[in-house]
Amino acid sequence: MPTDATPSGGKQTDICYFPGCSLATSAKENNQSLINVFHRMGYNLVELPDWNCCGTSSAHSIHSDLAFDLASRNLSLVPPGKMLLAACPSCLLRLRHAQLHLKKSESARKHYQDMWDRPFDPDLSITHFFEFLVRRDFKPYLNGRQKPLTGIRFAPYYGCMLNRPPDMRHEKNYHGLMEKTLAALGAEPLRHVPPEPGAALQPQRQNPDAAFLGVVVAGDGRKKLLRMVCPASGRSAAHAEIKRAD
Amino acid sequence: MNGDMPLPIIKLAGQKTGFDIGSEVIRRSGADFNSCLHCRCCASGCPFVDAMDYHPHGVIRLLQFKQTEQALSCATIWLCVGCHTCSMACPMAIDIAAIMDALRQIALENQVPAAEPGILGFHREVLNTVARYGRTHKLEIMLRYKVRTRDWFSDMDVGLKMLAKRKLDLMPSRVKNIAKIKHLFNGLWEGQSHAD
Repeated sequence: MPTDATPSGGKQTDICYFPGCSLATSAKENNQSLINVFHRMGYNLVELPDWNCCGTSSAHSIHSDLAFDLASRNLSLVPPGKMLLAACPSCLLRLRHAQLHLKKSESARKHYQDMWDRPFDPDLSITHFFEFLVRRDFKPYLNGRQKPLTGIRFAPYYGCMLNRPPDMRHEKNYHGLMEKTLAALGAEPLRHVPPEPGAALQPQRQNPDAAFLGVVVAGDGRKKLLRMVCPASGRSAAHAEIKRAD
Repeated sequence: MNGDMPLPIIKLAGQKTGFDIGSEVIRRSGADFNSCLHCRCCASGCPFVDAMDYHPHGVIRLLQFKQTEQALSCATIWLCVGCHTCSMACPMAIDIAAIMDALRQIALENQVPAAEPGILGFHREVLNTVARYGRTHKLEIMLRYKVRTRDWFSDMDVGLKMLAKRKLDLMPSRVKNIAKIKHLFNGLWEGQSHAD
């Protein structure tokens, strides 16, 4: 853990944080850098106590009620009055979708209360870390501390972060968050990378996504960075890179 | 969310059962596919369309014509990853991913053999680790998936590199209050013996 003082005089504010399965395991370097960046900004990311799988992909594929219950248990664990910060777009979508369903449905709220022995908090704010960064002017916190990104071109890869089901179409969207954040640090955005290489299907169908990401990773040979928000697609990109190197 | 009404077993030999696939899909998904214009926006955005036997709007066409058997036994419902690219493209705001979820679940409940048994097997291994630990355990998922498919060597290079980079934890990350999680999985796979 970094120990240097923050601009706020070393005072750290706690934020309730949902890492999710990928960030807790196969994308743990992603997790650690997020924790470090937030620490430097004066925020202490505290893991949601006893969090569980958000209910994405396999759970909602097989049983919608199970996916809803898994997501709503996580919502029930957030300490009252706190916001919840998420890092994985798919976790974010599941958690927010469950919250929206709870706001709309009386019977879902009753089920929630019976299940988790506490009332549903409709005011809980579930925020993606990029959104959190953009809402604050984070540059003063990082000045002189980060390696400048000048000269690095990056392909923003949002995965399924920009997509949502139609019943969430009036919710906020995340277009341009990565471009805004990384351009502020001196990097140059390339064209938008099309969404979703299907990381969830990677073990069964490795070719479509690996080939697709291989094109992005190979590029034109210039210094380039693929900035991803999806921890599972990060694995697909690594896979594509390994295949290319072979 | 879904109701608790058990469905009748669908007779896939073409016998009439009085089961209306259309209204069941609408009840579960909340998505009224009858407003579909067949503009194909969903298909042109879908990243998996090349692997599908019916395009997303093709599955909707099957539902409109009440082609229960084809709709429940097609590969498309298993290949959909629920990324919502189609729903974003749809001018009629039809939640196509929710329709795919509904069809997949109706197929499972009625023991319709999955057109993509490997994908169903993978979902089972993922959910088995969630039931055991409350979170996914990727090494166990992959090893059990390998046992299931008896395909030992594809992906071996990536697996070893991920292990070397400590991206595959040997031990699972666990939820403490696992009893609550286990409770959610009670009866999940009942009546689905075919799926193994």
